Amino acid sequence: MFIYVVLITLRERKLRKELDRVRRMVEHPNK
Amino acid sequence: MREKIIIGLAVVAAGLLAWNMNTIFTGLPDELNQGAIYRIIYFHVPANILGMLGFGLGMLLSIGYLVTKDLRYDALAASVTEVSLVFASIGLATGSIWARIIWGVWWAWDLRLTSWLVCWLIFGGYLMLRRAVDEPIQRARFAAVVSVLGSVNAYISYKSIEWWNTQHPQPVLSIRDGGGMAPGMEAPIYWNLLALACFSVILVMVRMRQESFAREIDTLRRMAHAQ
Repeated sequence: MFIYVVLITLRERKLRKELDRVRRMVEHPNK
Repeated sequence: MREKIIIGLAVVAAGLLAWNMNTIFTGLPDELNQGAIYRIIYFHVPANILGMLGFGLGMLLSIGYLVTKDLRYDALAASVTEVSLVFASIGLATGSIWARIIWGVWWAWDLRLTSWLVCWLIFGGYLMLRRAVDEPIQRARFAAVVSVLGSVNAYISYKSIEWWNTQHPQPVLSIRDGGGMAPGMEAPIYWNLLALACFSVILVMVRMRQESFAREIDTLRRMAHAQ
């Protein structure tokens, strides 16, 4: 259970970072 | 609002678990034949109940998707199934530890254990299948079919200790006409079930949020490619 909580937290961080990156890419396509 | 629900449930789950641990480890006597190891039942049974209920709920949500074609059902089914698989893993691990002490072996190829292991493998395959298929509609359809088939197996596993003579103990809970435990010893199982159920709802809510992040990322990527 502890391992799963750690994995789910890491996945959340990864998704948030990716979401920020893709948002920036859409807002500023030429950067 | 979602954050407040998660925090509220976490407080309830932590409080219940702390109170239960105190009852289980300091308030209850050892069992006559098994000694202290019988206490593993307070984790083994709730974890397996949540696993089975979760697989059943996942099946209903998958049928919901197949009927309506609404991808929200699929996202919820995936979240519920993933969390249920974690609880099923805890059930298998705790059962194996108990078996080592009581039976002298880590594993027996008995109908209950084998059918539950097969169920665990099917739902492990369900999660692998979801990662392997990129197209969302196709992924949801394939996953829904696997979920329905896996849940039939979960039901067979649930009933196996009634239908066949298994090495696994017969039902002990009074709600399944078992009556094999003193009421004072049985109650903490339900309290632990409630605590772990609160915890599982938190995990499903977090997984649902991640599913919505993943959908948004997918939509934005498509927009970026279209530009």
